[in-house]
Amino acid sequence: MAPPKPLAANALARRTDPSSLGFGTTAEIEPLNDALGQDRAIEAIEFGIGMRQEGYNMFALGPTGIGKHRMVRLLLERQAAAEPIAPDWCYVHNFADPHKPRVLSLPPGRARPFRADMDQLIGELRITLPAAFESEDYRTQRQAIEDKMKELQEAAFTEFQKKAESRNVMLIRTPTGLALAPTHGGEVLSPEDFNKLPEAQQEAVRTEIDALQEELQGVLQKMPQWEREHRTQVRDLNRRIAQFAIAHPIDDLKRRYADLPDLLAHLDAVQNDMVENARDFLRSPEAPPPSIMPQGTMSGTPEEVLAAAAAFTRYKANVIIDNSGLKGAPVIYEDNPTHPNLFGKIEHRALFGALVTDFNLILSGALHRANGGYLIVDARKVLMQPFGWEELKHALRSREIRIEPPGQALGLMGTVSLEPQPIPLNVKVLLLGERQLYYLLAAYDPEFNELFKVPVDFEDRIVRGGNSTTLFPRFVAGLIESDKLRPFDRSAVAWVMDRAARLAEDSERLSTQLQSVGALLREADYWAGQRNATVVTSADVDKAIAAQIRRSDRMRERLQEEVERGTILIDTDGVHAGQINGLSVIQLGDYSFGRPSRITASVALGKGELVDIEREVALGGPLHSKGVLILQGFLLQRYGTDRPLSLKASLVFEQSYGGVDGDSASSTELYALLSALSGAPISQSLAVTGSVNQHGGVQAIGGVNEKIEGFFDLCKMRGLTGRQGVLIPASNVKHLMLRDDIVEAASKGQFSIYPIETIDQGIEVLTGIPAGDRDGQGRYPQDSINGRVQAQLDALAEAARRFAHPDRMETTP
Amino acid sequence: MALSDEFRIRRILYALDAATDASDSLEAAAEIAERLNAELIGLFVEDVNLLRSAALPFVREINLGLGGWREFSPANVERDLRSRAARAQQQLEESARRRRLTFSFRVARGDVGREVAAAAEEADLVILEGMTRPMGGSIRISSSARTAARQNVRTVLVLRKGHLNARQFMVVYEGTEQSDKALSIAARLADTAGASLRVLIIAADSQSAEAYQKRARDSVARLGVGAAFEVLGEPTLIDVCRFARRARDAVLVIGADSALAGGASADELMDRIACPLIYVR
Repeated sequence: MAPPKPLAANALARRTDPSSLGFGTTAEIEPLNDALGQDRAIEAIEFGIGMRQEGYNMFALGPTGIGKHRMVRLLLERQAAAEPIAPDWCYVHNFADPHKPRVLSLPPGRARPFRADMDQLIGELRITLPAAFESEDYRTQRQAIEDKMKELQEAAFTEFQKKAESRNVMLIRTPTGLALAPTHGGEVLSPEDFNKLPEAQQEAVRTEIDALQEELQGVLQKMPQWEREHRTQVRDLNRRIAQFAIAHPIDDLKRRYADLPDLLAHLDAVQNDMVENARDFLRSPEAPPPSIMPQGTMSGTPEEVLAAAAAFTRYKANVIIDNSGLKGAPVIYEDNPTHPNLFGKIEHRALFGALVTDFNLILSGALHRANGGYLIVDARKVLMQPFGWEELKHALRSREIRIEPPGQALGLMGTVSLEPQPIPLNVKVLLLGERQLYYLLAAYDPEFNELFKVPVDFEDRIVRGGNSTTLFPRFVAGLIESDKLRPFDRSAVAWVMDRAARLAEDSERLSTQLQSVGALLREADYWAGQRNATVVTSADVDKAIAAQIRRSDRMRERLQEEVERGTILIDTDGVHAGQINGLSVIQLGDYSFGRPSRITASVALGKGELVDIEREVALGGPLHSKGVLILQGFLLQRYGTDRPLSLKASLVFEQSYGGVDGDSASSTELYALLSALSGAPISQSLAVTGSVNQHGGVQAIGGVNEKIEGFFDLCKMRGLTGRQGVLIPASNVKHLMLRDDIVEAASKGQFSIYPIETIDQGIEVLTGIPAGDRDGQGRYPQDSINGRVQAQLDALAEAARRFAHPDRMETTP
Repeated sequence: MALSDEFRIRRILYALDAATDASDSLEAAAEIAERLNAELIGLFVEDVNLLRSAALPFVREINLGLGGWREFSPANVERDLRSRAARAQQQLEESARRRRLTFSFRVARGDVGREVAAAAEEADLVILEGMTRPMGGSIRISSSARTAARQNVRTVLVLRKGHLNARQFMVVYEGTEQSDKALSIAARLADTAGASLRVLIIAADSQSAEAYQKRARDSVARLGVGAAFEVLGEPTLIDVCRFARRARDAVLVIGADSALAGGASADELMDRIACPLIYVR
């Protein structure tokens, strides 16, 4: 097979002809606001939205920066606008079980008025209830009860006292009680006077007093009963007064919310509670209830403060979702999906050294806000948050949002806290993430496939040509419009398209990486602004690209400097056996560049071993090791079919102190090995990239443009000789989107790119010696590379045989 | 304000016995003494009837807290009386010293009414607690000391349950000499306590009412005190009591010669009204 010729200059990059675009500037074309080339993803989203059954949540997968979020949001908002507005939600006190606040659902826009109504009710009752209890009517009725009680008591005592006095007995108040003593002349008899009485009279007095004592005890025993009756009467009166005062404003509210049965039931509970606790309203309306004062001082005892704080707050409504401002179903993106941000939380307030809470401190999360609509969350972020992923799945499975601190769910919290009533959940969740994450979840989380049945797979490139010639400029115009940039003229758009092809690493494809393309547009606009231009031109785009590279290529420059200074040994001229220039790509952040590396091979007598030094010292990755093993396969298949290979060869990336991975250097290593075996020197003016298979076919690799540019820059620095160039797999030719300076050098014959299909082609370009084909006896021509390799291997095999059987060696002629 | 010396209160007697709860009422008495810049005389009467009862072997005491009849020994009563008197004295001394009052305290043994009446001869105003300590629940009965108010002693202030948070002094004015004295005392107390003064003019006819009102206005004007006047025509004592009841934290001030009182003693009036009473003699 004849060695390939260098590629023509026009094959090194496919440039867009600005005149083919058919417009002057982007201001003349209709912006494309939809995503470019994402038909599959759009269909998936539309399907996911339309499927109302459980589990049809979506996972938008694709690389970062291709505009998944923007497009998903655009589509969801478009759909949500046509859907009904989600209801409002508020938490209220549960009068039956205060630890379990109740949730009320109200039509959108009615929660806030309800909260205001409740606040107004409290304020109103703080005025009207005290007034009712201050009223003449109440005081008269209350006094009547007091008077009745007093009369009852006094009547009983007066009657008893009169009876006692009529029998010459006095009721005496002792320090701790009462006593009955005989009198004479209004004074108690002294013991002496009493003893002077006849015995019969004394006995009569004693009997009389005993009887009166019994009677007094009877009177006293009635007292607690009267007290109870008194308290009951006062309570009944208070209840009647409160009921009357409360009924009117509450009835007003009930009429206003007559269409909401749950709310009416709550108002009934509020009314009953207010009647039972009307005393809470009897403080001065001007004076705030005892609470924490601004300076942190307290008024009242802790119990009083807590009771007072709870007195009015329990009638309030805590609006956690107010959808009054929405025009359709909500579309919520939660950028920081922590557990509380997603599922809500219960806050606490420090009071007397303790943390207290009530339903007014319940806060909503993104799921609450998205309920009735759509929630967008970054999958990686939610997975990184403790309990976030599990709780999200639980919520989707149970179709309800339960606000529960994670510690409580795990049983780690022993303290009594709130258990708010769960809210029914009706939401479509759309996770955003990389493909790898999607496939990992699909493989390892059995619930994932049940809950996220719709993959939304985003393309990161589109076919260049055809529709894209029209659509891509419109896509650019859309980005320009949304970012409010200057219009781009057609030369600038053509440059952006070329850059998009380079980003796609394919002259036949365009990258739809929104992040990169958008950044380029914004930066080109900046440079246009710097020169006070009103239109962005290709020079601005060029400047933006150059500036991007300039900002990032410090490391590339340092490495090149070290090559130039002879610290890193790379030859770009001359020949050397067993030594070749390989090419690798270094990725630093979002910037990558090619770096030439010297690869050497050495051979010696051995047992067919091929030593990958990188792997031996654990600097080689698995793909690199695979490449080296393929070399072994190639050698065996080509040269070891009729005898064992008796060599030991070693391969190494010289001056490589980091890891090496990928198989793109496998062809390079094979050339070095063939050179070492054949003794044919390799031209150091050339560099090589490409992987190889066991049959010697050269296969495509990644980063072909960066690799060529890396070697070109080095050669250019040392001076282009015309002999320099790069061998690339022929299948990578379509990926070439090289810089203009390389294209120019190629067109002048100063630098060559060789498309290589087989190892034999490559070795011939590198050594100038034909690889050689087998003849009828299976032998290669003696002067060919293959023939020299075969001869060397035969010699090694013979040496090995002699080494293994010295006796036979001596006897053999 | 310059009050005529005729109505000047220089000595206040605060009397109590074993059945009186001294803690609040004693403090109220000290406060009034301070306002009026008067000397405070404390008197604890050991009720002789109580001592005699305890000495009778068959007399028993029913404990109101615990219920049931129990032995009632003179020794216990004596000890209890001494203890209560000592506590009252200590409290009076502390309160008086804090207020820098001239004060004295003594213990007398005898009939409560008579002893208080006798001690009242030396005082311009007698302050008594109208009710006993609670007997369980809210039940109280008239104090023994209050019986002193039945005697023809000096001007008497009968407290109710120790409180005197007067926001208003409501004086019954009928144009009599004791009405003038009542008005003067009420004005002085209202002025020093920062309370309002309300004068209820009671007259048989409008002409008299007008005259009384003018006289009362002149009096309070002389004293430099603001007052509200209200002509009630010919009310009954019940009407006035209702008035007093409506006004929160009011103290009713009434002359002993009031036709309205109909000769009722302070003790009897106390049974009809629900507020503290100053019975001016």
